[in-house]
Amino acid sequence: MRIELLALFLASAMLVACGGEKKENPDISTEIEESMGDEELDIDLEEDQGYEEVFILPSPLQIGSIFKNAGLKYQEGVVAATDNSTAFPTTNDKALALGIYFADMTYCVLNNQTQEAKEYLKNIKDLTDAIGMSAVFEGSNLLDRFEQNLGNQDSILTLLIDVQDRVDMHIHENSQDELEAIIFAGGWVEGMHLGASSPKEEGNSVDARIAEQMTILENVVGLLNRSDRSSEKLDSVKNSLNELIKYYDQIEVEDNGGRRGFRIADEHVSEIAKKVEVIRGAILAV
Amino acid sequence: MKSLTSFALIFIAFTLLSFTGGKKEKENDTCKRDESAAAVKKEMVPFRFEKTTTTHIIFKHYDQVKTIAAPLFFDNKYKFIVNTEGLPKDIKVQVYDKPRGMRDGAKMIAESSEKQFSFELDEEYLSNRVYIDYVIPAIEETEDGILQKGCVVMGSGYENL
Repeated sequence: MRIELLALFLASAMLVACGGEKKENPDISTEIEESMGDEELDIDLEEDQGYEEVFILPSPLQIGSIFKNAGLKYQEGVVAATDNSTAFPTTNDKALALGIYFADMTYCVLNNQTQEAKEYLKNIKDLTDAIGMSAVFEGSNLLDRFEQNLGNQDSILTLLIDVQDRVDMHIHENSQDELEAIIFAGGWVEGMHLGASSPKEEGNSVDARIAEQMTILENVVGLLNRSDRSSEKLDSVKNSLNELIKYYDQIEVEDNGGRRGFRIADEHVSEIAKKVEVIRGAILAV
Repeated sequence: MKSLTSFALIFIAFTLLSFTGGKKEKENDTCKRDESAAAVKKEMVPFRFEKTTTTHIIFKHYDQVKTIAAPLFFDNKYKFIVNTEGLPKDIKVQVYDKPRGMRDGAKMIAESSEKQFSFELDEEYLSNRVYIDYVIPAIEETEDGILQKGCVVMGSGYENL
C-alpha cells in the first residue's frame, strides 16, 4: 500500500512539473509569427540572427498615377467586364480578380470616368464580402459617398485611398498578408495590360514605365512563391509570372547594352503585352 | 476504502494543479495603430498619402533589425513618416539606399530616435528602393517576466500627380 501511495504521488508530481511555466524560446516559429505585421511577408528564418526584411507593395493608385503621368490615355473597352464578378470559384481566384478591379477602378477615376469607376466599386464590394472582408465597407457609406461625389475627382481619389486603407487594415488585423500579395498580383497584371494597350505616341514614356514595373514583379513573385495558398488558377498565374520574369531578365540585357535599365524595344513590349494578356485571360476566366 | 478515496483526491488535486498552475506570460502591448496612422496621415500633407505599413515588434534579449524595403519610381518625389509612439521602448530608425549586406561605404540618408520623424526623397535620389531599418535594442532578459511589445506605423506618400 505504501508503495502504491508513493507511485501515485510521484506520478502526480511529474504531471505538475510538466504542466508548469512555459519557457520562452526565442528561436521558434511561433514567436516569429507573433511579430508579423500586416506587411511582413518576407522573413529571414535563420536562428538568432534577429534580422528581417520586408518588401512593401505600391498602391494601385500610385501605379495608375505613374502611367497616367507617362502619357497613358483612357481607351474604351480595355478594362475588365464587371458582369461576372461573383462567378470566381475560390478565395484565391476572387482575390486575383479583386486586384484587377482595383486597377480598373483607379484607371477610370484617374481618367474622370466616374460612372464606370462606380461599377468597379460595387464589384469590389461584392468580392471583398465574398472573401470575408465585409468589414471594409461596413459602416463607411462608401458607395453613397462615391455617388455624392461623382464629378469631383479629388474627392473620389480620397475615397479610393480610403478603400485601399481599409483593405490594408483588414489584412493587417487578420494576418492575411498572403492575400495582399495575391490581390496585388492581379492588380499588377491589369496595370501592365492597361499600359501595354496604350497606343504609342510621341513624348509618351509608357514603355519605360512598363520596364520599371518589371522590377516590382520579382518581389511580388517572391511573396507569392512563399505563400502556402494554392488553387489551379493561382498556381498557373505564379508559373506564368515566373516565366515572364525570366523573359524580361533576358531582354533587359539586350535592350540596355548588358546593364540594368529601363529602355525596352517595341517588339519586346509587344511580347510582354502578349504574355500579360494570357495571364489576364486566365485570371478573368470563370 | 478511505485510503483509496484519499489517494484519488490527492491525484485529482495534483492533476488539476498541473494544468492550471502554469503562469500565463504577461505582456505589455502598447501598439495603437489607428492613432499612429492618423498622426502620420496628418503630417503627410501636401504629399498625397498612399498607405501605412504596420510592423509589430517584440523586444527580446538580443538586438534586432527589421528592414522595410519600399519601391520608388523614377521622377517621383516621396515622403515617408515613421511613428514609433506605439512602442514601449525607444528604437532608432535609419534610412539607406542599399539593402543590408551591401552597405560598405554606403551613406546613411537619415537617422532618428524621435517618436515621429519624416524624410523626403526627390528626383536626385537615384535608387529604385529605399531601405528603412528599425534598430531594436536588446532588453534585459526578464523585466518582471512581462513581454514588451508594440508596433511601428510607417506612412508613405508621393507628390500629387
